[in-house]
Amino acid sequence: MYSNHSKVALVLLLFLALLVSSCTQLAPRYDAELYSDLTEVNVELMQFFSSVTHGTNKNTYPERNGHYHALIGRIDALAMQSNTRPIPNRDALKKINHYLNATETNILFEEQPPSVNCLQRISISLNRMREEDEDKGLHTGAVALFKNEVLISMDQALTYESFLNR
Amino acid sequence: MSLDVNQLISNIKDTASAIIAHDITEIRGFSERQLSALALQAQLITKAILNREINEDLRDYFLDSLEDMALNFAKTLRGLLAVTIEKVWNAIVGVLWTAIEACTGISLKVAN
Repeated sequence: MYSNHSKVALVLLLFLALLVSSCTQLAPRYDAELYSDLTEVNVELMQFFSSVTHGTNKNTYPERNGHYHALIGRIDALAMQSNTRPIPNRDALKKINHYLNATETNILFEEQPPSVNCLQRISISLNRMREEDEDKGLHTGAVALFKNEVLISMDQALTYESFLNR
Repeated sequence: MSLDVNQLISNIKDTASAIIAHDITEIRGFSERQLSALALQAQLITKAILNREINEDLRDYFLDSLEDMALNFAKTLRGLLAVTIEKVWNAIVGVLWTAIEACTGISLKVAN
C-alpha cells in the first residue's frame, strides 16, 4: 500500500507528466547543412581577409568586387535560411516571457534565432568594407577592424548553431 | 510499488546538474573568447584613430558596430541559455516519466 505522502507525490507527478505530454522545444532544430555552410563561408571569409591584410588601393577594387558580392550574397542567404526554421513550442516561450515580464526582468526570450542577427551584422560589415574599399581603399588598421568584426559575429553564429545539436 | 520520493529528487538533481555543468563549461569558453575579441576591437579602434587610419565616419561606424556586437553577444548568451533550459526541462520530465512508469506499469512515452 502507498503511504499518503507517496500518493500525493504520485498524483502530482502524473499531473505533471500529462501536462508536459511531449518533448518541449524552446529553440530551433539543429540544421547540419546550415552549420556546414557556415564553416565553409567562414573559411572563404578568412581567405579573403588574408588577401587584403596589407590594405587595399581603390584602383584595384574591381578585382575584388566579385569576391565581395559573392560573400555578401552567401551570408544573406544563410541568415535567411537560419530564420526560416520553425520554433515548435511558441506557447512555452510565451509562458516563460510572461513570467519574466512579471518579475520585471529585461531578458525576454525571442523567437528569432540569435544567429540571424549575427549573420546580418557580418553582411553590414562586408557592405561597409566594400564601400570604403571602392571609395578610398583600406588601411591595414581598417582591414584588421573589419576582420575582427566578422570574427566576433561568426563566432556567435557558429557557437549558437553548434549548441543546437543537443 | 511505491514511489521513492527522495530517490526521485536525487535523480532529478543529478540529471539537471550534469546538463548544467556541461553547458556552463561551453558557455564560459564562448564568453571568454567574445570578451577578448570585443576588448581587442576597442584596442584596434583606439589605435586606428590615433594613427589616423580611419576617418570620422568610419570611426563612428566602428563604435556603433561595437555596440551592436556586444548586444548580439548578450542575445547569443540568452539563446544558449534557452537551449540549456530546454535540455534540463526535457531531462527532468524524462526522469519523472521513468519513475511513474516503474511504479504504475503505464507507458507514458510519446513520440517526440
